[in-house]
Amino acid sequence: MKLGRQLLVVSLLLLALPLAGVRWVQEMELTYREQQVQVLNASLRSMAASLALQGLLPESINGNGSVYVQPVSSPLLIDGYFEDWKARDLTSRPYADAGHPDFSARVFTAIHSSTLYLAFQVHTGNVVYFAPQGSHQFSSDRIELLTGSAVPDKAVQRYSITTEAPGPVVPRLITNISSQPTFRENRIRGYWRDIPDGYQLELAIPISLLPVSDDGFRHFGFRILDGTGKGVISSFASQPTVNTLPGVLVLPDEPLTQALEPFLEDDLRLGVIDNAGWQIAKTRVGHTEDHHQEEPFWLISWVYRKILSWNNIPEYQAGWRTGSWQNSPLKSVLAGEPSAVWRRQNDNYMLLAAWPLIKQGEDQDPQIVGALIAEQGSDAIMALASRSFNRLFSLSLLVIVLVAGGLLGYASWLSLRIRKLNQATERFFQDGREGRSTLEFPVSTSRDELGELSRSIAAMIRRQQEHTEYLRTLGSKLSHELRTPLAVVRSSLDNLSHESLNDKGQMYASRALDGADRLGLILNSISEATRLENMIASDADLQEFETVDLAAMLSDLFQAYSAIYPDARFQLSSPQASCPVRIIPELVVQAMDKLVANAVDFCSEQGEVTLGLQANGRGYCLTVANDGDLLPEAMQGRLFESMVSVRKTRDEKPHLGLGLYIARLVMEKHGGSIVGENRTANNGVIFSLNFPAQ
Amino acid sequence: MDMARTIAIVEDEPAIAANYRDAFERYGFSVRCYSDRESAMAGFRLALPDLAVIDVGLGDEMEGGFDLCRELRSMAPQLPIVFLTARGDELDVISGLRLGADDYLTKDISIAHMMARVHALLRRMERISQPQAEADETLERGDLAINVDRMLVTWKGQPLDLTVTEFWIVHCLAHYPGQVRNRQQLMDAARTVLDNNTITSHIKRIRRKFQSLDDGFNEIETAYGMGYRWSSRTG
Repeated sequence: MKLGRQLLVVSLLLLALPLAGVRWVQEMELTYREQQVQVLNASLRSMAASLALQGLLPESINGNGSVYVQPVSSPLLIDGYFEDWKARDLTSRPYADAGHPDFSARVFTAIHSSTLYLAFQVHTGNVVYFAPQGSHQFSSDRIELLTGSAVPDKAVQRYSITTEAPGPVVPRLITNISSQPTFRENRIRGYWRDIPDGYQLELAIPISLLPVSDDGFRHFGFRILDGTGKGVISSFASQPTVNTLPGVLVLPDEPLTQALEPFLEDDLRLGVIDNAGWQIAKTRVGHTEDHHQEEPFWLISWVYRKILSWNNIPEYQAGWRTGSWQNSPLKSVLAGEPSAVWRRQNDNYMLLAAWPLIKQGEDQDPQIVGALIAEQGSDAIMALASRSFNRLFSLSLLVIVLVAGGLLGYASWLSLRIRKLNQATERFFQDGREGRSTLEFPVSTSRDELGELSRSIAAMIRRQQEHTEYLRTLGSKLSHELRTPLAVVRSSLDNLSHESLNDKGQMYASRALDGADRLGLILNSISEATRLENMIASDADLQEFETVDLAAMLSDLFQAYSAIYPDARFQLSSPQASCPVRIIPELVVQAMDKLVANAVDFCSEQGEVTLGLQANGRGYCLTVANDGDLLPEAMQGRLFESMVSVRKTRDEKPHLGLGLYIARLVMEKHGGSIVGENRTANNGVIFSLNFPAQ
Repeated sequence: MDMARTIAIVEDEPAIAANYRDAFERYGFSVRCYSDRESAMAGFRLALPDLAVIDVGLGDEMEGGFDLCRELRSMAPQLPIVFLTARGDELDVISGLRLGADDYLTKDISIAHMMARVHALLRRMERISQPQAEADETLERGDLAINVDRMLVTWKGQPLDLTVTEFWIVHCLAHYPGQVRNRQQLMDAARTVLDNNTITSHIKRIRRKFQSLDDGFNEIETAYGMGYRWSSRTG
């Protein structure tokens, strides 16, 4: 892996930053929630205290058979249709007769000003109308209303409502339980309407007809009776008697609602339930400022939703609309236990809290008379958390980008330096291998480890250069220094041959002369290479370049080599067309001489030496190939170095490993290259002299 | 020959000087050896030798031989001078200096080759000094005329100043026009042992010398891989 990529991977560790941030946001959000609960509870406690001080606490009621009345802000139409009820978002309460599943009713109750509105939807299956002729009034479908009574000695008033036909109806007051209704109560208005499997009855009753009883409550109940005697649906459990009051009519407590108003806050709704769980006061939702916060970037909000731990919160469910809190999760408050729960509504979260209202009587034990209910949205938290999350997100993004960019830049810079160092080193060794003189190695002045490395390499290279230079001049120095003693040896031997020597002496003398000759040859070839080096290094012989037809030259060479090496078998593969190239022909021929000499020496017994010429794209390529052994793997890179030889056997001629070196020098002079490789068929070796395009 | 010819050897390496002296004396020459420039000049002022063999490097003077050659040449314009050098790659330099030497050789030349040169040079001196009594052996190839005995070469009537080695090479080439002489043959003709490159530079020098007389000179042809030949066009 490249250094840059490594550092990039390392920089991934930065992702821990947003993770930690996310964790922090989660924690913070939990804390906020906790805090909101506490704050709300604290306000509820003070509200409860305030209500108690104002003496506005509700009375404790007996919940049995109570009828709950929802407040409504405007009068309802008495027309037998329920659309206006539904439009006002009023809810009905189902009633049923346990013995008759096909006999059920839904009942709406509402109050506006001093008028109590009732609406019955009765499913009987078949409506039995009152037939005035001959039939008893009690044998038709009817509804009985029971109220407290203002008449002394009589606790309960009963009204019966039945009709001969759909339309407006008027209840009749029943004075005696067993007697026929005696007179019509015209203060109560009603309208009867048929529906497919029953009827709907809508009533409007002045609240004055429901007097406050001795216990301080208005009592109200109803019974729905089927004309066929199928059963009875009753709002209260007990059998009606003259003196048995029906259940309590639970009315909205207007003063209580007023008292709650001042406590409203943003996004807060308050309510009071009585000890039976009926909601008797309800405020509007506190003024909610329109948080015109722009929708955050979708990715952010998505991530935000993902990370918040609110997903396991139950769906929102509250009794504001129905006014019935008996089954709400807050019901434990009626046992005196303050409670608070979080509920989810789409993407919003609601805090529902309840605080018990306890009446401290002078002479009796504290009594739970109801509870304060509060509902607060989480907009504030959400906004806060979202803001901090946004900030966190952008901040960590910025930090990540900055740090990653910085790291990447730093890595690039580092790897650039390393690469440059590497390239310089490679170039140097490349040049060193090819015998070219190198430019000064760029030494870094920086004081870090890379700088030190660069300086060590530079020092190493300097030593290497000195060594190379020493080796390079060694040849010419040697040949120079050896020539004088060789001259001494040779001239002495020449003289010796004129002295009278015995046979043995002659033999030794001639051996010594042979050795001197060979030494002379070696010195000659060394100095030849040196001269060539110098010649190639200088530009003095640029005028030696002439345009030569390589094809013609190769054909000359082919004949010449065939003559020079009569034992070898030569092949020529050359194009017919002329291949003009600007070269120094003597040098190229010398290089070819060396290659052919090698090829002949290394050629296998029955093998062939093939001289070739190809046009390769931009230039030309002279090749000398021979069958035989392959090049040793280890020598591939060093073949063209000075004094390197792969010959295994010794023969008469001295071999210093200068031939290929000279060939390489020649090709460098021509701006070309020399390549030695095994033939693809692995049956021999091919050397190529590549001449660049002119 | 009534009187032994005198050879002066200026050589700072005593062993070589002694060996050459022995060799020359064996061939009947009288030899005087000098080991540095001063003593050589002193000796030359007393009496000029018939031929001088001078080492390029004399003791501390790396190129003392050159100065000595110039001084000697000014004293005796006709005196044959042979240079010895330890370095083959100096031949070009020496040639370029136009010191007027009659030949320059590397030190490891065999004594036999050296003798051949000395004899040739002395014979040339002799011929030149003697009136042309009998017809010299000559060779003519078109514009080229070679006087083999006097080792004189003219091109289009103009004399060409060649060293002995060069003369023998030209002679060898021109003797068989159109035939390729390979390097070995040229070396043998020039009685020397040289590397291929040195033969190439000799040929290069010879061509240059001809071309200084005649820009259009193109008679020495290269046969790639084999050697050189004298153009057969004029032959």
